[in-house]
Amino acid sequence: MSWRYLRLSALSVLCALALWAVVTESGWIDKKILPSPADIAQQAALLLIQGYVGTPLYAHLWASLVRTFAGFVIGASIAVPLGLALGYSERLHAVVTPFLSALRPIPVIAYIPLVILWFGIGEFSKILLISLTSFLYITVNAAAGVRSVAADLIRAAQSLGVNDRQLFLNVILPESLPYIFAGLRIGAAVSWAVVVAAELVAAQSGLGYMIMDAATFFRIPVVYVGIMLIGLIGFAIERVIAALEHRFVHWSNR
Amino acid sequence: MPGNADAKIEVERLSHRYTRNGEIVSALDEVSLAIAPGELVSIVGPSGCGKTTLLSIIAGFLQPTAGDVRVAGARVSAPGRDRGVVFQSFALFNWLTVQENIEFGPRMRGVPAAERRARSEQLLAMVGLTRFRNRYPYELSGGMKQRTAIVRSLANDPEILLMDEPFGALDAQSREMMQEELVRIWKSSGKTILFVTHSIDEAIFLSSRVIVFTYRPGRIKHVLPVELAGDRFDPHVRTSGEFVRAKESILDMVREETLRQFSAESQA
Repeated sequence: MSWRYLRLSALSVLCALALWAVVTESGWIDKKILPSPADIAQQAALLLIQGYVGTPLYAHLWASLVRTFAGFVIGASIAVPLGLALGYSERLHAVVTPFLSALRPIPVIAYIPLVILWFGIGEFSKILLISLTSFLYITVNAAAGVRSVAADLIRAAQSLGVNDRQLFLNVILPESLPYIFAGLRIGAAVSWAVVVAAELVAAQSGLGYMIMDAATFFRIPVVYVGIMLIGLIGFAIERVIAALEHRFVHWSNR
Repeated sequence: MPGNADAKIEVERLSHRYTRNGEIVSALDEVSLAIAPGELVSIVGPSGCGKTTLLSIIAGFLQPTAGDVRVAGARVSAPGRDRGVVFQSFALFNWLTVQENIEFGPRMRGVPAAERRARSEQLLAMVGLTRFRNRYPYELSGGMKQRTAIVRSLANDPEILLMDEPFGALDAQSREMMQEELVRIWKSSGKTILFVTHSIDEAIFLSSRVIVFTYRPGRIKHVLPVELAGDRFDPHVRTSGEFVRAKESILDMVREETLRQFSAESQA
């Protein structure tokens, strides 16, 4: 985005904040339902200093991030090789695709009761849910990446004398990377969303837990701070992966 | 034809049929031809005349229904680095620089880095890409991309070069420049080249022989030897008498086949 449009975005955010401040501070909207920006800033500062019910804020944040990262890494490390294999082998694709297609449209939140039933409410259950989500998205993208490799590119490589192993490692894999990265980006975003959902249901730590617990005790500003933190961190995760993408697949979209 | 033992490319009674929408399409029907070492031969004909099919079979991408192809005496059964192929789509490796693209073939077969480098420097200089050796394909013009692709094939020192509409994606000006470049490359490398094109001008300008294909089933309709007396780099060579005469006769033949293609398609 150019500097000019960046300024416009900043202005737009400032206007929204001002409007929000006016409608809340004037009492037009009940502060119990929608606290003012100042209330939320104050609450955020308080959380930062005092933590939430005896646990520092960074510990909640850290708990959520560790779960997301663990689940995402496990999901991705199964999904990328499997997706590549699915893209490569028509037969394997036929065998596995029905299951992937059936699982993908189900919101992962729907599994929460089952996962709790099977594995309890410990860390394993939450990480499992995140792995499953990221796995489903990344697999599909990796497979699509392999299938997107143009026939001419493969033929060109074969005419340059590659064997099957070289063809895969030196042509198909790098040519699929833009798709794989797109999968990782979506997978990470969805993982972050899922961790919060999982913590809403069963957790003693994490941002999701903090929001749920605060809502129970009607500490509404804490709920808002939690939601905003989720948004900010989700945005940061996306930017990190986009930066990696720019670094490792510089030729994509060019 | 055992008599053509000294031919670089030998195609013997080659036929290729395939089924499309339940209908048998005869792309090639008993095509035989022999190309001598160092020749540059073009194939022209309407779309669907099987010229690309022939090239794909010689490259080893397709298995023919019947017949044989031998390149430098060896029977063709799969793609291999003895036959360099240049595509209309360039088919460059986008994640590699120009120089890395050129060194790809030698690197895959384990040529030492220093040797590879020396050869690629030579090829870069030959096509005037030395300054662009560290660029990526997406930073190049179409003509530069295709020059990269051509020398990438040459880096493997293949027996022959197969070119499938290589300049089809270029604008008219770069196209003429690339044709002259190819003549230069052909003369300096001494490679045997089989060149498929839609453009009759291109075929006459480049080749020592132009092969005209019939519409389905693909057969050789006519082989026209071209002897451009003048210098090919003379800007007026394309309007010389011999050029125009060759063009007229090929134009008539291709038109006849294109009309057959049109009537076949309107009946379908």
